[in-house]
This record gives sequence, C-alpha cells and structure tokens, in this order.
Amino acid sequence: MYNILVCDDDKEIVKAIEIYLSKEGYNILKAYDGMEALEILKKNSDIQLIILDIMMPKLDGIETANIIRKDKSIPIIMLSAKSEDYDKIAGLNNGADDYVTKPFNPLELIARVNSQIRRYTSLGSMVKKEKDDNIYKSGDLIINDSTKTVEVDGKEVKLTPTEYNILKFLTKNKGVVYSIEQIYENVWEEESYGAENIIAVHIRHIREKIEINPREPKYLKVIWGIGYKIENLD
Amino acid sequence: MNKKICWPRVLKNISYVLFPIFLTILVLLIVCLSYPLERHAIKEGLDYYETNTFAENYALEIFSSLNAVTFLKDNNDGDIFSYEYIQTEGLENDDEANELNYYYEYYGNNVIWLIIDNNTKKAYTNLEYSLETSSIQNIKDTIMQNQRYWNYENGIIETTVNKLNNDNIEYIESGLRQESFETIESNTYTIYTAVLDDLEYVDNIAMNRVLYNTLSSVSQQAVFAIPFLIILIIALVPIIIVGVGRTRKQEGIKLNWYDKILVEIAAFISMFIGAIGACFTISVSGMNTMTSFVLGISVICVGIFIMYLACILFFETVVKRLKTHTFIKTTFIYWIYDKIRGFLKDIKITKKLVLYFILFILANLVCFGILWSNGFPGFVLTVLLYGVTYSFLSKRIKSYAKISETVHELYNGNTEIEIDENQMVKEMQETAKEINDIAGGLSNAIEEKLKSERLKTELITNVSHDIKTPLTSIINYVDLLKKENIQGEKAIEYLNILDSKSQRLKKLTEDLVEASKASSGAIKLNMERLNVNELIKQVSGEFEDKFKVHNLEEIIAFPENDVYINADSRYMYRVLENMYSNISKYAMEGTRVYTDILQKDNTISIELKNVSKQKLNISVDELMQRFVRGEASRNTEGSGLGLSIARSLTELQGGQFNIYLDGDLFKVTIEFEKMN
Repeated sequence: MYNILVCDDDKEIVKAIEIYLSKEGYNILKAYDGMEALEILKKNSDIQLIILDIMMPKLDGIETANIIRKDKSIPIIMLSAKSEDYDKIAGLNNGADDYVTKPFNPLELIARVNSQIRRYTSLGSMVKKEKDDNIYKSGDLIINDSTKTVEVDGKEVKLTPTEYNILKFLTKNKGVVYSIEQIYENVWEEESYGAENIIAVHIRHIREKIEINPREPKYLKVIWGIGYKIENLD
Repeated sequence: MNKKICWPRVLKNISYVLFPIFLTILVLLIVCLSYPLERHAIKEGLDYYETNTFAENYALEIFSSLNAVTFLKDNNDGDIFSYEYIQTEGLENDDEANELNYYYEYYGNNVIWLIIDNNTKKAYTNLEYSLETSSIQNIKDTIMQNQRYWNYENGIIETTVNKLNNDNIEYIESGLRQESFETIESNTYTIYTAVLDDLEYVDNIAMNRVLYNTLSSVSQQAVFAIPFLIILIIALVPIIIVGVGRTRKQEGIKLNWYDKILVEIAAFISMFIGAIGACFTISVSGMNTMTSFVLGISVICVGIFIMYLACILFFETVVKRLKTHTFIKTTFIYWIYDKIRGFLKDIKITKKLVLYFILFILANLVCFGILWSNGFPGFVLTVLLYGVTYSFLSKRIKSYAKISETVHELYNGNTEIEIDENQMVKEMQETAKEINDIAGGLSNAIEEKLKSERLKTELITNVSHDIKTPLTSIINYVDLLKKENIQGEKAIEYLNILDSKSQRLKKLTEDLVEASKASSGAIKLNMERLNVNELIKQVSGEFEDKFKVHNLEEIIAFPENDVYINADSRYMYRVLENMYSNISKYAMEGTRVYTDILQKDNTISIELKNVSKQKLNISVDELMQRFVRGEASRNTEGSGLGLSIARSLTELQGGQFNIYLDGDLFKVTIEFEKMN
C-alpha cells in the first residue's frame, strides 16, 4: 500500500481527495499548510507521493516543494487555482512533477496520481528495456515493436493498427514536427491527396488513449497550423 | 544686524579717496623721474642757484628786460624816460606807468632790474614804487641788497652767479639771443639786475627751484615707490569693484534710478558733470603771484574733484549693471532691438510676412542699384541677400515640414512622437509646444485606458481564483454524491442539474479570465507562419467525432496550394475551437457545415457557414456582445463569451473577425493578411 501526503488549506478539498484516493487503495496523510507537510515528511520516510496546494498559509506550496526537493525525490503534484501559464511554469520549475488546476476532474487527478506512483516505483525496470532495438520511447511512453505493444506510465494502451503506425512513426522521430501530409506519406507510403483530415482524427483518438488530459497533451503535441510531434522527454 | 558695518562698502569708499592720492603721487613721481633736467646736478647735490637751469632762466630774464627796454625806446619819444625825469616826475603819467606795468605783469618775475641808457641818460626799471621817491642810487641799492645779482658796467660783468660771469655767459644755452648779447656788448647800457632772495613771484625760477628741490629729495625713493604705487592702485580696483552696489541694509546689489536709465543717458549725465569740472579747471589763468597760484590750484582741484566724481558715478553704474547682468539690456541699441522684437512679436504672422516681403524687395532694389552702378560689390551683396533669404525660408519650411510630419504621425496613432522645440523657428515654437502637449495628453489617455483594462483583468483573475477553490469542493462533492447510491428519480435529476451547473460555472470562470485578457491585450503572442490548410484539417479532425454525434457533415473547400498566415498557433486554435464548438452546439442537426478557405488579393479568409438550430432574432452587434448567445435560453453549456473571445483574439493577432446573419444562415469570416 502506497502512502500519499495531501496538503491543502481547504479541509473539504483534502477530504474529497482522500475519499477518491482511498477508493483507489492509497493510504492518505493529511496536512493543512506547508509547515505541517514538512513535519509529517520528517516523521514518515515511507511516502510515495505528495499533492501540494500553492496558496497556503505559513509556507506556500512553491517554497515547500523547494525545501522537499533539497533532500527528497518523491514526486510532487501541484494543485492550484492559479491556471496561468507562468503559474504552471513556476510550479514545475520549483520541483513539481505535475500540475493540476482547480477545479479539477477527479478522474484526471486519480490518473495523474497513478501515473506518478507507477513511474516512481517501477523506475528501475524501464532502464533494461531501453537497450532493445525494437523499443521506441519518450519519457514514460514506450513502444515495443517486437510485441506491437504501447505502454504509458507503465500501463498498456490498446491502439488500432493505423494509430499504432502513426504513433510509432512519430515516436521514432520524437521532437520533430510532421504535417498531416508528411505523416500520411510516411505511414501509408503513398502520395497524399491533400484533402484528408483522417490523420487529424486518428491523432485525436491516439491522444484520447495515451494522454491523461487530451486537451493538454503531455506526449503527442499539436502545433496548430503546422503539424504534430511526440515531445522528446528524455 | 542693521548696525553691522558693510565692509566692502567701507573699503570701497576708502579706496575712492586713496585712488586719486596715489595716482597723483604716481604721476608726480613719474614726472620727477622722467624730468631730464639737472640729473647731474642732483647727483652731485648742488644748490639750486648753482645749477644751469637757474643760470639759464636768470639770463633769459636779463635779456628779456633788455628787450623790453629796447621796445620802449623804439616806440616812444626818447625824452620821456630821461634819468632826471624819472627822478623828479616819477611815474605820474599813467600811460607810461601802464606800459611798464605791462612788462612787469607780463614778465612778472623774481628778477628786478635797472637799465640806464648811457647815451640818453635815461633809466628803466621794473621796480614800480621806488622810482617815485628814490634816486637811481636807491634803486641800485635795492637791487644790490639781494644775494644773487648780475651787473654790467663799462664792459665789465659783476655777478655772484658763477655761471653768468664773463667767462661763462657766452655758453649759456637756452633762450639767449645773439641780438641781445650784442646789445650788451655794444656798451650802450649800464645794467643792474638781481634775483629776489625770497622768490616772491611764481615764475620759472621759483617753479624750477621747487621742482629741483623736490626732485633732489624724492629721486632716491621714487625708483622703489613707483612699482609699489602701481601695485597699490591696481589692488584698489578689485576692492572698489567688489564694494560697488553693496549696502548695509540688504544683501546683493542695490540699484537706484540712475542704474536703471539707459547707459547712454547715464554716460551723458556723467559727461555733463565732468564738463562742469573741466570748466572750473580751464577758467584758471594768470597765476603769477603766490596767492593767485594757491587760489588757482584750489579751483583746479575742485574741477578735477568734480570730474573725478563724474567718473565714479559712471563707473559705479556700469559695474553695478554688469554685476546684475543688466548692462546690455539698458543700452540704447538693446532698447531699440527690444522694441522692434516686441513689435514683431505682437503682429500676426501674415502681416509679418508682408513686412518681410517688403524688406526683401527694398533690399533687392538696393542690391540691384549697387549692382548696376558698381559691379562686383553689388554682385556679392545680391548673392549674400539671396543666401540669407534662402536660409530664412528653408528654416521655416523645415519647421513646417517637421510639424506637418508630426501631426501626420499623431493622426496615425503614434502618440509617443515629440517635436524638438529648439529646432523650430521662433514663429513655430509655440505651435510645436502645443502639438507636443496634445501628443502627451493623448498618450496619457491611452495609457490610462490600458492601465484600467489591465487592472480589470487583474481583478477578474483574482476573483476567479477565489471562486475556483469553493467550486472545486462543489464539483467534487457533487461527483461523490452521484456515486452514493441515492434512490429516487427526483434526487438524481437534481444532482444532474447541480453537476451541469457547477461545470458551467467552471467554464464561465475560465472564459471570463480569458475574455478579459483577450480584450485588454494582456496576452503574449508568439507569431509564426501557419499553414491554413493544415490548421483547418487539424481542427476539423478534432471535431469530427462531435459533429458525428450531432449528425453534422462538414464540407471543406481548400485552395489548390497551401496558403500561409502570420499568427499565434495556440490562439488561432482557440479561435477556431470556439467556432467549431459553437457549430456543434448550435447548428441544426442533420445539416451540412461549410468551411471555405478563400484566397483574395492579399488576404486569406476562413469562412464557416452553418444553419442555426434556433431562430436568430438578434442583431450581429448584440451577438458580439459578451454574455449574449444566439438562443434565448441559457440552459446549455457555454458561457456566451465564445464569440467575444474569438473576435478579441483574432484582432489581437492582426486579423478581422466578422459575423453575417442571413435568415438562419450563420456565417463567420476570419480574415488574415496573406503570407508568402
């Protein structure tokens, strides 16, 4: 059983998170400000994840994350009503591994928690797989071309053959932006007739399968008016 | 404090007194040193009566007396001045007495003489009273009782003055006339002369004695005294200058009426006063007695004193004016300049133009006149006149051009522009300043507007943060409640309403922030070259599933080639996302949706057409207002901000966003400049 520290000055939110995560089988430790969170961390060395609000009394989330990061590599998910780009960047730059904005979708939060826990606890096993020639990966997105399987954050994802081919092509060339036409020509290996939006539909479906929040994709990014790419996370 | 002595003023007044004294001494010393006479004698320490100067002057007097006698003899009957006659009759005849007096006055001096014509036995003398009562012998005695005498009797010179004895008299240099000497040699006259011991009269002999004595007494010290005096006099000047205008009563320079009148008038007043002093000095004459000499000198001193005062008066006012920087401004030339300038300033620019034009014509006529009569200088003058006129005109035209350029810029919205007033000609400086003020005012107003928009956005952002936290709990607990096994149809229906409304509230807060940011321009754009075909394919791909759900068929008309625009990728998607999501929500089910990408001359236009589900009984303007949606009811999802955000974002990126309504046909065009 994994221990998760939830820290928010709003007790009802902490309680709601506790209900959701308990159902998933996690053990919850509660704190209502940054100082309290640090104290609990001191007493318990067996904590696998921290969910941290930013705007808190005494010690805010950013500073708390900074202090935790000095000697611990436990994943931190920031949870905040601040939804501006620069707020997210500030959070991620100060030691957060993920950023969820309030009001959050409970399912999304659970998915992100699961993802972080999987990452944190199965980190060692991934390194081995990397050596295989038939393995393409970016961060925790792993495509095994021998078994034709796709794994995201340690969880297998089912894709159709077309979706698989598109994702494999993009992951092979991670970091490079491809237009619809280029993807078509490379995956279908025949000339595109220009009018297809079928690729866009497929991409949408892939995103829905591999991303926790398809609107804010982590792996398969859309550059509107230019093309698509798999973000290089290594 | 009032009792405090104003030292600069006191020192200045002392200096005014010392200045003429030092100057007089200096002049005297310089005269003394430069006086060429008797340097040798002074060095040897001789007595005055042993000097050549004395001997020469004495000799001159002797020969002058002889001349006088010769003159009298030639112009009168010989009888009149017979020895007997003079003895018995004396000087009862007024005319003769006057004649003698004339010589006496004219040569009025310290040398007394008695000359006897040996042929006619007539005696002549400049001693007026002794002739009446005394015999010749008495006169002789009177003469001889003086220490220094010179007699000539029977060809023999008898004298107590060594330089005038038989051996030396011929070598006397000054004033001796051969004629006179011959008269003496001819032995016609017996001569008795003497120098009065007390030097009663002011004549060359007496003056030279004073001079000689002074010279011999000061000559030693003068060499050191002169540079010392010069330094003293120079030192007095700054003391005076510092003290001028200072008073006990107040700080700084005090100006009186005299310092405020024109410099030229002040100069004239000073000159007038000086002239009065000069009159005193000039009026003095005939200082041949000691008394009249003293009186004369006094009058001269008074005259000089008045002139000195006049000088001080003018000097002080000049220094005071210089100190207060009013000298130039109180000159007559400046006064005229000021009047002309004032006159030019007051008249209108149109009248000024006429004035300048007349001036130009006049100057031109003069130049042509000179050119016609006198070739080359006329040519030079003409060229010069045209050069000056050109520079005059070009300066004004440049200023005008600058002003018109600035106004144009201002009209185009550049409120940061400013005219350098110093580069303007005088006539346009005021206009330039006013334009600058207008520009500044506009710039401020725009800044204020932006600032208030920013504040509004900030406020909305902050409020939305505060709403989001309780909203999180509402959404989460509604969700949890739904998961509880609640019985009863109504309870489930109410829960669903709560769920949809809380979701809508969430969307509303997000859109509200975005709308305010988009309309206030508080968004950082990342402009890049976007392929419109690609963009539309991507977006339509995103919405294909949603369209299918509502049974909508999208028909896209792409241009033959790829077309590009300059825009921000993310915000461009936001615009299209809002439009597509509107279509999926409000388009009538089972209809076709048309998307056309149209290429015009310089623009790319994306046109989205669909048939509305509801009756569009609303105007375009109303539709674009925030919080207005195409339908009357507000039960569906969406904040009503979609169109407003889309338009703001499009305009921010430099595009145009338009809506057209035609019956139930709803058309949106998004137009951007074409990029190659």
